[in-house]
Amino acid sequence: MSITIPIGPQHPALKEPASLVVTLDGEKIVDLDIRIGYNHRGIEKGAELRNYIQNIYLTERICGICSASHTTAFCQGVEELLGLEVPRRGIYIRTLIAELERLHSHSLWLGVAAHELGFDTLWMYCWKDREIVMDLLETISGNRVNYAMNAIGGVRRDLTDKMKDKVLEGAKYLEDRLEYYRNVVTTEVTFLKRAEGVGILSKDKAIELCAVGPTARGSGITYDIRKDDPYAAYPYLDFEVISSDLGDVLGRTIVRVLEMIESCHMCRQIIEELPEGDIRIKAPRKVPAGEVVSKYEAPRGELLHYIKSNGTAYPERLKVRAPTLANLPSVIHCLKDSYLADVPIVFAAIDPCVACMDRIALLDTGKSEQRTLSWEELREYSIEWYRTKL
Amino acid sequence: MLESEIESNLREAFKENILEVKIPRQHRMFVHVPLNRVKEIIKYLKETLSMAHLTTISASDVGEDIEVLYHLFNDGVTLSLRTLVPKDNPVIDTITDITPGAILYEREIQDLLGLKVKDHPDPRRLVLPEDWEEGVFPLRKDWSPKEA
Repeated sequence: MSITIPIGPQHPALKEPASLVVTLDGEKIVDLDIRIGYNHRGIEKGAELRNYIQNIYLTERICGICSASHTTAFCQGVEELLGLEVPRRGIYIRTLIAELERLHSHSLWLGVAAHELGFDTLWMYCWKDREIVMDLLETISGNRVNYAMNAIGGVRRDLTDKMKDKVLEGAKYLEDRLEYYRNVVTTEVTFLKRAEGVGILSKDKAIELCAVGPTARGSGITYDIRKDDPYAAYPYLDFEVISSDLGDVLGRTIVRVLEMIESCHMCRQIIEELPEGDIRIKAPRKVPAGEVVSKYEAPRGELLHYIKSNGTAYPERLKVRAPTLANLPSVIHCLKDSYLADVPIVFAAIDPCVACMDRIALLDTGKSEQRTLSWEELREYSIEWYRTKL
Repeated sequence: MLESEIESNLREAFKENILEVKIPRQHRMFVHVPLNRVKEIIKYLKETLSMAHLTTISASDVGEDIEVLYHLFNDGVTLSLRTLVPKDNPVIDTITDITPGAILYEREIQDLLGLKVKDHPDPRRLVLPEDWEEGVFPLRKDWSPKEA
């Protein structure tokens, strides 16, 4: 069945709008189509017109939540093309920012997930604790987002003793709080009723659809670039790759909560074992001709930057594959045959960077009528649906 | 499996069709193959060497041709399978029947570099707007944003 819907107005306050077309039989989803591209900014073309230094600032702005992921993937790729050996202290600081970013991104996600389920107390707790991480990032870099920490050849700011103490203090506090969240998401009925057995993605299907990050690890795939293809300071850190065999929204939640605990451990290790020395070495502006595949485990999963250089100060080609695109086929699969009421949480469970669908069109095959719901209306509908059903 | 083992397996199975193998460092390899062999090599890599994960498909304009790279992964090794597609007949076969996860990546390169993907199950535009002019591909070198 083919459905065409008019594209609604974009919401200017939100990032990356996407449109969802759901075909329903009663309350069951028989087909689902996601349309993206409304906010395609042509960054890859833009990168060809900017030099490598300018491109650090451009890649920082690919995403507001995982900005350090993009600059690290980009800078470490260029460093590889240049054959630069970044000082150990520099890559430790880079890794600290990466793990703090994962902490803020996952706690943002847990708050959003709780909100989609109508569990607003958990949402507010999470976001209150997230402020600890935001303060740490601000203390170190001066910014809450777009930290501008990376440079080709290292990082731009060193850590002071005062900052180190603050990170240790923050990590200790968060570890205690995360134990509480671990308890909530595995025992609290309000959460379990909405997450258990919802949005099933089997391991085989996840492999077939090339899922990445917590979405894949929530289905029992232990794929994590930090372990499988170690970069930055990960070869020197002691940490576990978290996975869950549940394959549902609960599995994806547990993976993220436990990953945050691992991130706290890593932050502590980085501070305790922080090597002395320089944080950065000078890099030439021109990059010899070549090509490189730079991979990075962003909060949402495997991130790839492919950089092709031509011997000038400008890249010949920059290709970026962000993890949300890799997880879209999986979310479409998860939602087929499930209930309309599960759309908000299942979609949120991949932690999409395109979550800001301003409109959602519904087509009921029984009545063949079409109506349009806002995301907020759909969220309320799903909470109410579960309230009357349970 | 080590990069060199993957290389010898490929050379044994596909002989002169493995045009070039580059191993710049541990965990990375680039393998150049002819366009008409891409599909069977991807199938072989998936079924025989367990390289089932496709990270993405990237493509660049290299003058007369479009260079396409399939970035595959297994057990620590990222293998980028390279092929050249002539611009005067820019057609590649879909690999979605082997790797269903390729569906969006094929649509993306179709939009941005003007490759036609034969037998693609859903060849609609992915990222370009609906009113974007037909036959204009922004990631080709002959297009510049000033014209838009």
